[in-house]
Amino acid sequence: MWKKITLAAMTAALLTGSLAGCGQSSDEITTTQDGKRTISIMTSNYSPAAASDDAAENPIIAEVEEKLGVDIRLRFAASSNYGEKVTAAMAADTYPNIMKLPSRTAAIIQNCRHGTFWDVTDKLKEKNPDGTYKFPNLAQSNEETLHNMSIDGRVYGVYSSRALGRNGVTIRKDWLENIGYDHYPETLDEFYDVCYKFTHNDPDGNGKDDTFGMILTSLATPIQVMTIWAGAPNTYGIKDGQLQPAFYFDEYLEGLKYVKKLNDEGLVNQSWATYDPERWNEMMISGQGGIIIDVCDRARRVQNNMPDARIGVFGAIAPSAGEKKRTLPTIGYNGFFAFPKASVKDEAELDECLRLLDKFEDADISDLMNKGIEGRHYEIVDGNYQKFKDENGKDVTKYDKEFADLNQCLPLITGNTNLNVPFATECAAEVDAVQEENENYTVPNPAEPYVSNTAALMGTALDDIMTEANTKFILGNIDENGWRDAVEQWKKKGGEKVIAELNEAFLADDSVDHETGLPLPKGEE
Amino acid sequence: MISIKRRSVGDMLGEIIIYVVLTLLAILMVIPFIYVIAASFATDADIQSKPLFIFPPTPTIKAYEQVFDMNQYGATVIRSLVVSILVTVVGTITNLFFTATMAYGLSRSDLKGKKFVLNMVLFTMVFGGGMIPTFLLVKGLGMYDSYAALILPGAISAYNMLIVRNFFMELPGSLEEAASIDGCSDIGIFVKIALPLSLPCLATFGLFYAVGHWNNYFGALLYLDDQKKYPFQLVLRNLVMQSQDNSDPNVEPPGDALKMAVIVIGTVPILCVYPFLQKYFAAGVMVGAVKG
Amino acid sequence: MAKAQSAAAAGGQAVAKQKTKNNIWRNRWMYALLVPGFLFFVIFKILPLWGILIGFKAYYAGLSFLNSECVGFQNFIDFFAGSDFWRLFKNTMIISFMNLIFFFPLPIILSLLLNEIKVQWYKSVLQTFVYVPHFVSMVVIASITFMILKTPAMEGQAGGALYTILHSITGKNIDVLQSPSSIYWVLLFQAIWKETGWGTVIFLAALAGVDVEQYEAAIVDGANRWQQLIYITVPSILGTIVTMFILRMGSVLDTGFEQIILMQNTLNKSNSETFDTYVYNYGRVGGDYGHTTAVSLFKSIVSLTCIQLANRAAKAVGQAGLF
Repeated sequence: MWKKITLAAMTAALLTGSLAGCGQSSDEITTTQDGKRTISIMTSNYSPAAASDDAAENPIIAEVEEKLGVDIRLRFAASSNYGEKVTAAMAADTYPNIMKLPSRTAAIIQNCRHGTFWDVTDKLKEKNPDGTYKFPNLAQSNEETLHNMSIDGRVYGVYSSRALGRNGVTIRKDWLENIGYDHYPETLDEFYDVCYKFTHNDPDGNGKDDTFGMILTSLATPIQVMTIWAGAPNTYGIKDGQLQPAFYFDEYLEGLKYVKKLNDEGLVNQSWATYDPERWNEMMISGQGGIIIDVCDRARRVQNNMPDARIGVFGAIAPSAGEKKRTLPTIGYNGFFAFPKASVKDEAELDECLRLLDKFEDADISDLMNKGIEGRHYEIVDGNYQKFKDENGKDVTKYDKEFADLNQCLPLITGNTNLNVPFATECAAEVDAVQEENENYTVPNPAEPYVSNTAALMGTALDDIMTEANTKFILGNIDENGWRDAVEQWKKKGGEKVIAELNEAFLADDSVDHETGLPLPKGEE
Repeated sequence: MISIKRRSVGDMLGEIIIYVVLTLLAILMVIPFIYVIAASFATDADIQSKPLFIFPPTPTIKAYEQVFDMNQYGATVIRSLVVSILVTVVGTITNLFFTATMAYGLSRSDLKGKKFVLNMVLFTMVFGGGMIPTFLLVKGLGMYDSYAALILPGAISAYNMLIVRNFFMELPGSLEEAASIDGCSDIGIFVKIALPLSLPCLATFGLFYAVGHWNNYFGALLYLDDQKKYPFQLVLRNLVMQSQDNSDPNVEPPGDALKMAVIVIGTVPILCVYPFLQKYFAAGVMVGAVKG
Repeated sequence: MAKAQSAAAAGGQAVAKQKTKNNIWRNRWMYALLVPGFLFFVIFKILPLWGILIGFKAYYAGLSFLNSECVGFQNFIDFFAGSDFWRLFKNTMIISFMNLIFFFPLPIILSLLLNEIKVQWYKSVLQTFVYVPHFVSMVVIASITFMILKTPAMEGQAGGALYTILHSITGKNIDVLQSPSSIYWVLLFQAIWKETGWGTVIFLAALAGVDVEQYEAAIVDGANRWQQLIYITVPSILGTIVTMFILRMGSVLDTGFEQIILMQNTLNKSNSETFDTYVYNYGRVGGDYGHTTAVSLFKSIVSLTCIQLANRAAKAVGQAGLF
């Protein structure tokens, strides 16, 4: 009986195996009747209904298409499950011309290696015969970010930019002043002092001992940030010309001891190790805790929720006075736009697609896709951008859906704009400034571009060993020896293999300086 | 039917305990949902600062206004609601048709080949091809971006079908014999006798299937390309889930109240279905009554 | 002699064939009823089974399936030897068996209790109430769990409701979420709260079919409520219970991933990674279909074995079984 069923299944398998080959195919770049080139873009959307790509329905699209001479076809998929949609489109061989890939998953790395997408490493900074850049906006791509997104040293798309210096510390500025500080803490000692005084010096001035310094959650990132402040490398460091995990460095343990001290002295919330990060803001909004280490944007969101308080934000901390300040960078991008060979047939078509993304960076197009049309979606008052108002002075939101999620098509590499958008709060302005300032202090992860098959297979199991050990060490469940045992365990369970694989890739990559791990400056022709 | 006088003291005491225990349980089960409803009418600040409440401290319908704001996504939300209702109704009818016919077909014990079909069903219960082969199949059949893709690939849940088959098998055989002597064909017996007798069972599985259709967003996500075709749950999900992913600094995360309102709006319509099915559950008593 | 025997045998075969033919003709309408369902299973369940072959290939979405390298059992070897197979196995078994032992009987008990409520409208109200948690999303349940188990942020402040109760009973500060093994109990209680009520639907439908005359006869014989329950109600739904049990065995390695991922933290993660969370992380999120298909295949084989064993066991004790 089972044999029969298995046999039937196998026959069926072969049948559909061949069926899988046919069916609908990928988009082709064609010319429409009015001479526009059709280019389709698949990207993620955040709003319940993304903007229409039909020029007849959407005046923004009509204007963009008119200016660029391109018939833009948008294929939106919800960001929460975007990865699955991309996988499905790839499996079914229904590629758009420009496809935003969410991150470097094992599948995407394999596809890049096997030539599913165009290699654009040399395209981005390609020059015209007259010496100008072919894609002037894309040519401004950040080297660190390009390095981070590279696979075996090659770049397979145009990244969608995110601030490298996005991590920052949200702090109660009013409390800080109450305890006598006129500046943000700049060294580990000062940061400790602030946490101490937030806990013991009644920063809210209500006469009660009802506050504490920093709010931690079950997320491990703030602890990593503090080890970096203490001088440890970001995830991997370079010792003797080899990549070594951060916890091989003495500074890392120093950082953990620092956090342990904060924990032992009650300067952070109790039971933080199990605290739900979704409720991170709560303890700050309710006036209990004064510091959160997360992304800078959190400051703005907290400020919006507690208009009576003054929320500040700062980025980097130095191990001690006189040393350079340090901060954990992001990888600098959130997905990248790739060009499938199945739908982009030749280099001429690739240039068309790249040109489109390049044009999206021009101030006028970028403003259209971000903010809409002047006089319909916004107006300029005293030189400043302002949402269009109706006769009652209320914001007109009726047409907002015309530009909903169009910015998800933009690489946002240059930030070109003609609009002066005023900040809603002082805090929002500060967030912007700190993100920019942070770029001077970021500690890049030299191992970011490299892929270890063992690590991919083991997945988070290896990382888990260390996050668990770190948490237990800080809570006092294990001592220093116990923590070192965990490091040994990490090595044995595959860690050493991971290090070896990463180093192999690292040493084979001649686009980086093997002493610093930083990408070498690209030679200009 | 059952005379109260005959009940002993022990029975009465037992009954009181049962009533008390069940009432407490029911309250325990419903309180978190009441909190969700209350929170959907509260302000974000209240939700973040108060641990648990049954009445919103500062009642507001802002969250609901936001969901149904016709200037924003109101039209999308309402259109998707219509889509969901249609998919749920058509889908459930399809499910019941496929499930009941197959279950009844397999309920006859002397049917040749029954064993083969049952084993096949069992086999597919534990072995599956996975997401990609199914996706390719749906695409190959030309159902991509159509509602058929939300309905047909899940037309039968093997699990449900096997239970329905057990219900059919427990139907009194004498009824079927009587009907077949009266000259009814098997289909006639199925339609005129088996189906009416198994209404409680069909109502139950109809409810299961309906809830499944109502809550399904993954199929829509995978198989629908045109956003205008999106069902309710996917739109609601986009309203809240999306921006929890903090990677885009341009997107403000939704307020807590909005999240709660979305849960309430997504849940209440399907909860309302149950009372309508209640009378069919009561109809189950028939089986015994006719048997005699 | 021999001739006669074979002739008899042939005759017997002919008779058997004729019988089969008769049987098929007599049941023709039953076959007709089977057709839609049968086609459904062949098209939507059997045809995609070629996907199983992915488990034997180094396949990633986007690469050509036919051209992907055949790796034999390498994916299985990687899984059993390379990753923390035993840890995943242990966690999966603990979560699954706790669920089977503690959760499985609860909907049966609850439906028997509900069945004793004779005031129809009150029964309806209770039923509706206990169904509600089924519709509450896991995200909400997770956040409520955090809320009631919350320990105070600092000395002298109030913690969550359940924390306070535990504190007043034991006098200790118990952070349930911090103890690594308590994740199992948290998952169990969440499942109980969410699905017990909904689980009664099927048993209540079975109870609705119980012959009323049996009770009347029993009452005449002087049986009290308890005796009616033991001798009439329970036996009459035993078939359904056995069916549900066998089906449950078919998903013995399924733990789901959403609930677990929501409740994970650094301290309990090594106790809560299961096959399903593994497949979720590497397949749906990572796109490594070769390895995850191998894991799913392993799960399927275990399920098939379990479901067969359970079915045989049911038949051995005189129940009808499922097939």
